Amino acid sequence: MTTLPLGPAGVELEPHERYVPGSHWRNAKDELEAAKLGMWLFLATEVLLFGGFFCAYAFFRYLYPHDWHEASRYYLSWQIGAANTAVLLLSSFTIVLAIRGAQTNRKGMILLNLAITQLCAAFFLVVKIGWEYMPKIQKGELPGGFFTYPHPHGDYDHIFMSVYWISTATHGFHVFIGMIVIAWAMWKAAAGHYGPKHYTSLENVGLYWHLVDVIWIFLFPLLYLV
Amino acid sequence: MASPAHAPHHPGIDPDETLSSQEAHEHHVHVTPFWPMFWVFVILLVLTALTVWSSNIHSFWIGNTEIVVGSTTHILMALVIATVKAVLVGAYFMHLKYDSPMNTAVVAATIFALTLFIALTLGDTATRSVLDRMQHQKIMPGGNAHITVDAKTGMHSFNYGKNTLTVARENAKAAKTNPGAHGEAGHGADQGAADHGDAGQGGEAAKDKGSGH
Repeated sequence: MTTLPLGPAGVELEPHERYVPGSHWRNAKDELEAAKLGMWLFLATEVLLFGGFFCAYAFFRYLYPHDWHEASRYYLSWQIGAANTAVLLLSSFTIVLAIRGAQTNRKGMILLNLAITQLCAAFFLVVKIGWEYMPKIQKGELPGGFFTYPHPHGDYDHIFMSVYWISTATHGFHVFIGMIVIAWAMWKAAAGHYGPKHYTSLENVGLYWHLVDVIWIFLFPLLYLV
Repeated sequence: MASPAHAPHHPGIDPDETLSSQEAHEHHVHVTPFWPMFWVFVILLVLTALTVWSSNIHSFWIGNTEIVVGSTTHILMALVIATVKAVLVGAYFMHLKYDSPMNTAVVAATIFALTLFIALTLGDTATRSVLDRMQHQKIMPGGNAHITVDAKTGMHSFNYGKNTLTVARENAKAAKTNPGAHGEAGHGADQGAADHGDAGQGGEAAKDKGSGH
């Protein structure tokens, strides 16, 4: 890789301005496109991972339609779910703005928006763990054989809890991983690695984060509402 | 080290890719627009409110007629709204609308695989009752496997029995040869395995009863 330390005006260039695509690419656009395609293939495997949980949901919901609906209403608060949905949607919007910041070469805009995204993710996890998981663990509203809640509503509450815990905990873990990669993207942005000509990893972090959002878009109504 | 003046024409690098950031921006970077994205965000929030609201409608009135909204309708409404939201996020936030169609093809293939996965599972679950009807009794997973207790020693031993399909076929056959006895046959097989725990296998017991009359 060749580096060009100085720009036309003799000023030192930011890392993103010095960036040269790998020698096996015709140009930066091809490199970005290929990286994005790879990311989409990864997201496909993620969708199928969660597909297993949605399949379990469909299976048990088909078997016990009434108990399933009652358990959803009995154990989960839609207010918490709706607040978390709004927060995740906001974080998706701000990460779009962070990418816009890279495309228009505004480092402050990238950092500010990634910071808001980070706060939203933290809010999501604090609400999830503090207001949902901790009370449920204390009351014994746990999956399958661990279910010890003394006042169950129906006969299949433990199965509902199994699907609830595995799908939301896996999703919550994805949010946590998202916070790590967004922190990494913030570090790269602060070091000047993102600009109009090069923001590949920021774009892919964004795609990952949107997928986490899309999965929650389906989990929220299915678990909390219907 | 290249002098600043020669930097754009550095050997081995496509001149198009060494333009200053502003020029590059003008040339090929699709800049994400602010307002369309903002409105997509607002629409997503409105749809979230709509899905919460729609899940709380249990009935409504048209004139004197009360229309009851069932749970299937609730699931369908929730899924339709969620799908619209996912399409908006995919098309705008994830730039599928502006990107190479190859990415959309990956998404389409994923949705196809997911649909196949869930549809086949639900199809199987929904048609289990056909097999139930075939043998006039509940099917226990694993056929008529049962535990036998030796009357003298009190020792338990596990009998693998026959598989589910064999039991179902034998029961159906017994029911066909002697239509009056099929209820009994199913019952006999069930009890033979579950209650008495005797050595006679459920399927054979059913057959014996069927032909014995």
